[in-house]
Amino acid sequence: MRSDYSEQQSALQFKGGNLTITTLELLTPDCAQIEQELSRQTQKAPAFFCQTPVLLSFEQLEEVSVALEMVVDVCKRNGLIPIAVRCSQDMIKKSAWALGLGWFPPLTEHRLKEVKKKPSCPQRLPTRFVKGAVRSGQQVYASCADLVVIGSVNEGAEVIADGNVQVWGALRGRAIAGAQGDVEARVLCQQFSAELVSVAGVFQVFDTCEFPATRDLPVEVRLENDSLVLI
Amino acid sequence: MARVVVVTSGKGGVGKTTSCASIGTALAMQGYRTVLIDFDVGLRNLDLVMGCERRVVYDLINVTTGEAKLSQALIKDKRLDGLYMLPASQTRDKDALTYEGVGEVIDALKEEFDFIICDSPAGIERGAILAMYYADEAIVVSNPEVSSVRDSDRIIGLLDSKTRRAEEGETVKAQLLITRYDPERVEHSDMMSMQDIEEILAIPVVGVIPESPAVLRASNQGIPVVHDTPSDAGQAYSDTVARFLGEEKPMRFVELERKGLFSRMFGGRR
Repeated sequence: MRSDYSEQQSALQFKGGNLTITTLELLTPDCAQIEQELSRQTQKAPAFFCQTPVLLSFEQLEEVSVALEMVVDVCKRNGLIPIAVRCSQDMIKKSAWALGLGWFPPLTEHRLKEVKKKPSCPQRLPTRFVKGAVRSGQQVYASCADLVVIGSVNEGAEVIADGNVQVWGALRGRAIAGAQGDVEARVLCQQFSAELVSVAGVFQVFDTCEFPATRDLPVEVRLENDSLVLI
Repeated sequence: MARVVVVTSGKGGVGKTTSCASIGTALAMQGYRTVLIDFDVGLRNLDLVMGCERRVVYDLINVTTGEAKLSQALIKDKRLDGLYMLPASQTRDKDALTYEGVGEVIDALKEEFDFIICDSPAGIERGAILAMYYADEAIVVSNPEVSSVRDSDRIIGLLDSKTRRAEEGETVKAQLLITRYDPERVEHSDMMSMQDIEEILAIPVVGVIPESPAVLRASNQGIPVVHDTPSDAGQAYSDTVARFLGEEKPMRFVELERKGLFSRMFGGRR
C-alpha cells in the first residue's frame, strides 16, 4: 500500500510469508557420490529437477570438511538451484557468503549435544555442607560431590548432587542424587515427605497421600534394577 | 543505634500492614521514636490503617527523587508522640523506587529514630526486595495455611540472599509472627498449628495474633488494633512487641480456653 503522505512512491516492500522449500540433507562430503545419486534421481523424476530451489543442509556432516563450491556445482548440473545453507560450521557459512548463498542456523539443539558429550565427574570433590534450612525457591547443587544438608529441605526447594544427597532433617522438597548419572548414588533423610526424588535420572513424584507411614522415619532412596527403592 | 525492621510475608492479605501499624504504635507507646515506611507503591494502605490518609501530601517517591524534603513527607501520628509515617505514592509504580534513593532516606531516618519499620508489599518483586534490602531484622508474617507458609519460606530465603546484610556476609535476624490464628480450628486440624509452622520455617516465633473481629474493626476505623487494649488481638500485639524488645512472655491465645490455659502454654515451649 502506498503511503499518501510521502511524495515519492516507495521502491519496494517487504512481505512475510511461508514457502515450502526442499531441503537437501547431505550425508557424505564425497561429491562424486552425490553426483551419482542425484543424476539417478533426475532420471526418475526429471520434472522435479528443473530450476528447483533447494536448501543445503550440512547438519549430518559436522565432523568432516566439505567443499561447498563443488557441492553447489553438482546441484546446478542436476537442475537444482541452492539458495541457502543450513549448518553450524563456520567454514561452510563463510563459503556460502562468498558464493552468495543465504545461511540458516542448524535445527538440532547444539546445547543438548554438548551436555551429553561432557564427561561425567572424573573425580569426587569434597562433600558440600549446607547449614540451616534450604527454603522454597532455593536450589543447592553439589557439583561432582556429595551434598549434606544440616537442616530441612522445604517444599519448593531443590537439592542436587552428582553424588549422594543427605538431609539431616525433613525432606519436603526435591532431592536429586547422581545428577550426572551415578547409579550408585542415594538420597538419605531423617523424615521423608519429598515432592520428588531422583537417582541418576530415574525419578518419582509423591502425592501427599502416599507417605503417611514414612513421614517420621529415616528413609534411604536408591536405584535397584533401574527403579527407585525406598527403604 | 536505630534498628531497621522489615515486615514482610511474600503472600498478600496476611496482615503485614495491620501488623506494621500495631507494632509501630506499640513501640511508640513504650517511648521509642518510631517511623513506619510504606513500600507498597501504587497500593498505598498503611496511611488508611493509621488513620492519616487525609494528611498525605508528599510521599516516599517525592523524597527519593528530591521533590520534597523528608520533613515535609513525614506525617506525625495524631495519637502518639514519637510516631511518624512515610506514605507510599499511590500514583506511581514500584519501578520508581531506587536502591540509592531508599538508602538515603533510611540513612536520614536513622539519625532521628530508634525504629524504622518497613511495610513490604506482597510478592517478591522490586518493591518487596527494596523494602527488605536495608533491614537489620525482619518480622515474617504468616497465616496458618500452607500457601502462606510456603511464601514465607521463600521470603526468608530472600532475606538470606538479597539484603545488604547478606551481601556483606551478615544475617538478617528473622522472627515469625503468626496472624489470624484460631485455636479451635487448629484443634480440628482445619488449620496448621503454631508448632507445625515453626518447624517448617525454622525461625523463632515472636507472636501469635488470634483471629479477631477487633482487627477488621480497627483497620476500618483507622486506629491500630493495639490501641484496643481490651481486645485479644490488641493484647497479642502488645505481647509481640514486648517479646520483640527482648522480654520473656508466654504465648497467649494459642490454646482453647477450656484446656487449663497456663499449663498448656508452658507445656510445649521451654
